[in-house]
Amino acid sequence: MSAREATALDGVRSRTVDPRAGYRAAQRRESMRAFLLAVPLLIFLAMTFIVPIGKLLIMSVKTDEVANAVPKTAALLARWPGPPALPSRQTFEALAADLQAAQDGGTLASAARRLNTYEPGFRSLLLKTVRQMPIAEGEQADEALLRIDRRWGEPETWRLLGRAAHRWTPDFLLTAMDHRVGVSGAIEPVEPSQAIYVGAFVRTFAISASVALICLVLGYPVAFLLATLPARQSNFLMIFVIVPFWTSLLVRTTAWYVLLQPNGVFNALLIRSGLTTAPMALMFNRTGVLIGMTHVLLPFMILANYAVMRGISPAYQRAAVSLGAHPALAFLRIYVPLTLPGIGTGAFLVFVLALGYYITPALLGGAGDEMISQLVALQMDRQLNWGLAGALSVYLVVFTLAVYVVFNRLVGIDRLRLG
Amino acid sequence: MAWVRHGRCQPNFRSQGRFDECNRTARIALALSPRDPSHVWPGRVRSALRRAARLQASLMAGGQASVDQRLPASKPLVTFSNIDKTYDGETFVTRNLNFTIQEGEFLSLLGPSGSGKTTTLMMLAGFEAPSGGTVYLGQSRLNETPPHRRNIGMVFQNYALFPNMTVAENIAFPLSVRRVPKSEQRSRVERALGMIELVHVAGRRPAQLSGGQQQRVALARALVFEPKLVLMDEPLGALDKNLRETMQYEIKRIHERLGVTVVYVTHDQSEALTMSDRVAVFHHGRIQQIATPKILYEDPANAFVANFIGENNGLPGTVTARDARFATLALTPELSIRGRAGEGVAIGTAATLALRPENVSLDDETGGENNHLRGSIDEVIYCGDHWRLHLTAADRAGFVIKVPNKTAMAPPQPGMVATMSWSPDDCKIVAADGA
Repeated sequence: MSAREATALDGVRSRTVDPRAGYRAAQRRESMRAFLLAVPLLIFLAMTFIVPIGKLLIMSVKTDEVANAVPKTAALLARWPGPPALPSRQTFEALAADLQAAQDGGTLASAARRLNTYEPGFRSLLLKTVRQMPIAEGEQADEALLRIDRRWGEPETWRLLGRAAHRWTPDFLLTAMDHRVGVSGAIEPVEPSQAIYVGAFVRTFAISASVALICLVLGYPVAFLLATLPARQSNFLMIFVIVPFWTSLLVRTTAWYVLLQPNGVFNALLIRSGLTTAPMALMFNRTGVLIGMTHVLLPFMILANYAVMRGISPAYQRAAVSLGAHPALAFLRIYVPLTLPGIGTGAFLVFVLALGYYITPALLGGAGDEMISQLVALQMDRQLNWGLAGALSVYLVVFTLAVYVVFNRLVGIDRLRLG
Repeated sequence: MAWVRHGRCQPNFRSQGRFDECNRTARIALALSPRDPSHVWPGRVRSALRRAARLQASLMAGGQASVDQRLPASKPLVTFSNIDKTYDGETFVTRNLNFTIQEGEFLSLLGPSGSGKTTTLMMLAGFEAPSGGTVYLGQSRLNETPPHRRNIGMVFQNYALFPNMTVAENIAFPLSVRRVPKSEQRSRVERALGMIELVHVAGRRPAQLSGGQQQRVALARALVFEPKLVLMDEPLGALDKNLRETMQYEIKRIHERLGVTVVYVTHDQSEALTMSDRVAVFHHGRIQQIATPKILYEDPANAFVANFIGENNGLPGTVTARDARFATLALTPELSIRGRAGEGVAIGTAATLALRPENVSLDDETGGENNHLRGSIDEVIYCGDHWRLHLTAADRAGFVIKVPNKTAMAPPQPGMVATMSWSPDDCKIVAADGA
């Protein structure tokens, strides 16, 4: 084929319209349209959900308070080889200067709070030191600091200051798992008396799993009833399932507070009916937490199962019975497997919602029923340790995703079609 | 108790599950039995053996019964005796049903929707309880037997294949609930799949099959445990026309091969006519007529059956004369038709003509006993092998006749006045309403 022929052929090719190009263009238009329809919601979600959560999660590994308050000291400590030697005299000078500047710049308080999470008393050490500033003419910075407080002569004090001065830190994530970086630089568990978070996670998961299980046991038969009754009765009963949604969570929890008290309605009924002689402990313990949370979360379990059950034709059960299966066996071998997506979705929904429960365990639970979200809230608004709060949240998100993956593998939540 | 010594029962039983149960008991007894013949077995074993012996006896009886099965219309398998069904005590879904189903026959329950045919089927399956009357299976009362103990196979309209099981698991289901051993289950499922020619889809889920394939799997599932009676509730309703015809043939073939009794509910009269040994026509909860397709079509019992089965020219009139075989129906004071007299046709009562369009000829044969009717042609439809003419006759539009098409024939034209004739033997005078 000559060169001219080849060029001519190319010309023919380029003139014919590629049908795939038209298809791709149509696809692009379609996805553009879908995107534009979702834009307002995406913006809303980004502003109210993704950005705040992302910031909180970033806080679990990023901390600026100390690095911003004592920038020069931080730079020098980064080059310091660490204990047992003390840092150089320039470091002492830099710290004195940094502290004064931080005091004037207003960044000292947050840095002091942050350092106090490493070592109780660090805050008072900083405040005491800065009160004695500036250093007298002719006095060396290291001598002055040592005179103000002997702790400035301990390498451990400087090591903690150096760790806190890192902008990126694994310390929050370690603390949230009851671990820390020890003097030797190795990761070690904290003293048992301070280890509270792992226990709280285990407790949170145990309570959530129990609530999911109780909701399943109570909700599955009700969902079955609603799905098999004639529409009129089923719609009527459905109102009772949905009414709790119209009532505030706080109101419902305080209602349980009234009912479950030692001399509350429930105990009065128990004693009057002669079932018990003394009031039963129904609140400020695990029982109260489980009762309250089950009541609040039960509708989710019922609705998730109802949605699946309503789509199951009664013909399956009939077919199984006509083929010789006892109705109970037909139910177990045919009906229950068909409702697995509902069981999975309901259990997962209840479990995940329960993980974040805060008000109910706070009001109805006792000392041993603290759930992880209560600890997150404590770090957020009492301790002002947002880094630790973020770290606890990171684990909660990771565990939740792991549970989702497992559930999805087992029962196929993503196969569920609601309605 | 000699048979126990062999360690197995004689394998000539229809019910595999009971055979296996019997076999298992026998094996247990053998394993436990000591060599010493004077040994007294413990109570548990004694009762197991007694039970096995009873089973053996009943299975033998069952084996005897199965021999008769192939004889046509020999023995009623199911008897409905005065069956009423009402939900509110006032309106009856079925009223005073009396009929029998013969062993090995293919009986269709045919009727418009709401006529009670499906309710009748459900009472037989055990999903509905009769409000009055008795259903017998053989000689024994069936009313109180729960559906899972009736041993009746059933095919549902939308197949009701279990979506969480594969095709093979679906077919094995009735065997596994009967505790048939696993290896036996496998071979029987394989045979069933072979019968419906679907061995290659054994591992697939029902959702991956076409409608016709699902239907065949449902059929295999209802037959694999070898029930004496199979019920089918509009099984082909969801299929398109071509597939429906293929499946009709297939169901018929399986019925003939297995000799199983089939009760088949349908509202499609051509399906009922082509497949059935007998058809029961339902209307308003009563059986209007139960007969072979030929009798239903050619000798309908009443106006409803005549109009429901096939096409009919149901001209109304009053009976003016009747003898042993024939009756005369006056359509108008001047115009009378003579035809075979149906049941309940008496002089002075209202009656209806039952005349098939293909029995009318267009030529003007003024001979003998024939009926004559003049009508003006409203519409002519060419159907290849015949012409279909719509006429106005006896002051009524909608008279339909079918004229065989002969190439040399001059085609009929709309507006022409035609003279039609037919023999009195080719039409019937039936009671006006078959209530």
